[in-house]
Amino acid sequence: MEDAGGQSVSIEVRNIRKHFGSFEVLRDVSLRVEDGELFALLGPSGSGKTSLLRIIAGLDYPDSGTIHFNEEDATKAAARERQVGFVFQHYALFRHMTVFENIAFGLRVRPRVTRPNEYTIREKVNELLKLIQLTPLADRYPSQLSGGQRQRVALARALAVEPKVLLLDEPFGALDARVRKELRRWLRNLHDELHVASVFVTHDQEEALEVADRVAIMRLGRIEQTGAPAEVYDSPANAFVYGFLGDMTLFNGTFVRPHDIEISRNAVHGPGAVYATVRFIGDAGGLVRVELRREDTNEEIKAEISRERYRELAIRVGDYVNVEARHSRVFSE
Amino acid sequence: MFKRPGVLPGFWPAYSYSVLYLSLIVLIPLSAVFLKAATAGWPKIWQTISSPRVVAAYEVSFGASLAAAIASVVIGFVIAWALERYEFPGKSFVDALVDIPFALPTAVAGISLTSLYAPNGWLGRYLTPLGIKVAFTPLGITIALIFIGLPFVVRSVQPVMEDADHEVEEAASSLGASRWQVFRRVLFPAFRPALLTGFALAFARGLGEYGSVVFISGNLPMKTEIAPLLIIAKLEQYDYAGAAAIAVAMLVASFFLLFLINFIQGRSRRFMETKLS
Repeated sequence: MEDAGGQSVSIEVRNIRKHFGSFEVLRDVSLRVEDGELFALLGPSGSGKTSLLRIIAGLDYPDSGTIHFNEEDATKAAARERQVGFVFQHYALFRHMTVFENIAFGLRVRPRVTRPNEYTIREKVNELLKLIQLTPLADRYPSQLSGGQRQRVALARALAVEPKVLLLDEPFGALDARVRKELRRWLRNLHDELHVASVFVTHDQEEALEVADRVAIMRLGRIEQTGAPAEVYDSPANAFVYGFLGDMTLFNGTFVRPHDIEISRNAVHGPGAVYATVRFIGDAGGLVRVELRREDTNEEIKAEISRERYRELAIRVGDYVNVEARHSRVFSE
Repeated sequence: MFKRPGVLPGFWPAYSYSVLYLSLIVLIPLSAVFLKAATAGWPKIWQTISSPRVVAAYEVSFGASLAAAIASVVIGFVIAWALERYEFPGKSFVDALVDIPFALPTAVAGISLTSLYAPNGWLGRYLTPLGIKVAFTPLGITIALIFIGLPFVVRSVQPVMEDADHEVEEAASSLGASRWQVFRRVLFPAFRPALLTGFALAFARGLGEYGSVVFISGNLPMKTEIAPLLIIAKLEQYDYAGAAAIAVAMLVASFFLLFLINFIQGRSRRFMETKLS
């Protein structure tokens, strides 16, 4: 499958603005996705991430700003001319066609001059069926497949046309947690094989940080920060990014990750340490979640400690403990 | 033999009521027709239905109904398409207009169509010089039947168009399909089962239609006489068995045709079955 991506390109988005009625969905968005990169657009619903993806695909047009594939202006090109593979959240499979015909669609609708012959189409589709591991289900209709299988068919259908870039809108959004995890690892491996510039939209920070080479965090039509997963996680640009990429709790007027809260039975020692009572203990899972209330200000504090530490401390609801933060952050906003 | 789906009770009540009411309203009256025809004896039945005048009436009835159903499918599809895909002023008015043939007494439709298309009528006076005769010809019958059949097609197709997923079109065009290809390969196949339903309904309704046709057809024996009219004529001569015989032949033929359409329709919607294994 080395050449399945055809000639891959970089994507550049420059100063895109978009209104729907009086609502401003994109406010001066610029970003660059390098050739062969797997890029995530991460943000809560209403942040404009799907609108941006649709504009890149040519399914919507911006009010102002430009889209470039390999420095070439594609802003005015129609969706069918952009050679973009688009994977929809709800698959958008052709339900009156078999799996095989769904995948073959993009090849069959080519103008006669560039349309491959029947034999080549079969070869290509069979190769893709093997890639998505659905060879035995080639003659099924989409209604006879599970969600995860449908999403793989949608991906194979997009790949069949050897797109220059691959765009995925919440590709795993409609799937259950286990299938989701499986598929995103599979997508990562697939991407490493194909090496075609890909952008996927998600609201799941874990998904974005695990799968993508780089992430852009969006809010209210703006990009808040762009960077490698470790970069944005370790040095978030602002409180929104910090809060969106992981749980956080407010402690002494600063932001702290719950796993950076230290609980001990000793008397107060550090400068920022306070006394608190244990209000709730959630001990199912890899980490034990503890909710506390400060004695002095009555503020709620969320903490996560290892099971080992939990056994060592032997805390119970109502216990009186000492709390301090290992790392905390101050954002000027 | 009996399929009992799901955990919800209610199969037997539903099944029993269906059988009961279908019997009272459809099956028993229909079997009465068969019984009445049978009193005449087989040679008499055959003689009645094979007489040239009756055969000609069958030809007119089936021919005009078929032509009208085909025309209704084409026109009805365009109307449904316009109503579902576009916004235009007066849309809800047009939408309501579609149902008028359902409500209007068919004789009223027949009389107004006749006066429009008669050689000296509003439209007929322009068509006659062109050599097009509408009133008192099979073409007139077909037009009356289109009037009657059209709403069946529009109302069968409309909900399916409404449900059509817009993303599927976007997916097709991002895969490189032209607008015509999107229509032909993606949209139309999804509407086909509903179009067939509309066709079957319009066709069946056309076969049974009487009121609107008798005025515009002129009822010329061997030319523009429809089968239902012959049935009425026989009844007026107190030839009940003869009337029943004509009806029975029509029933059998229509049932066979509708069965065939249903079969084709079943095949065209194979993709909707769900067999998750």
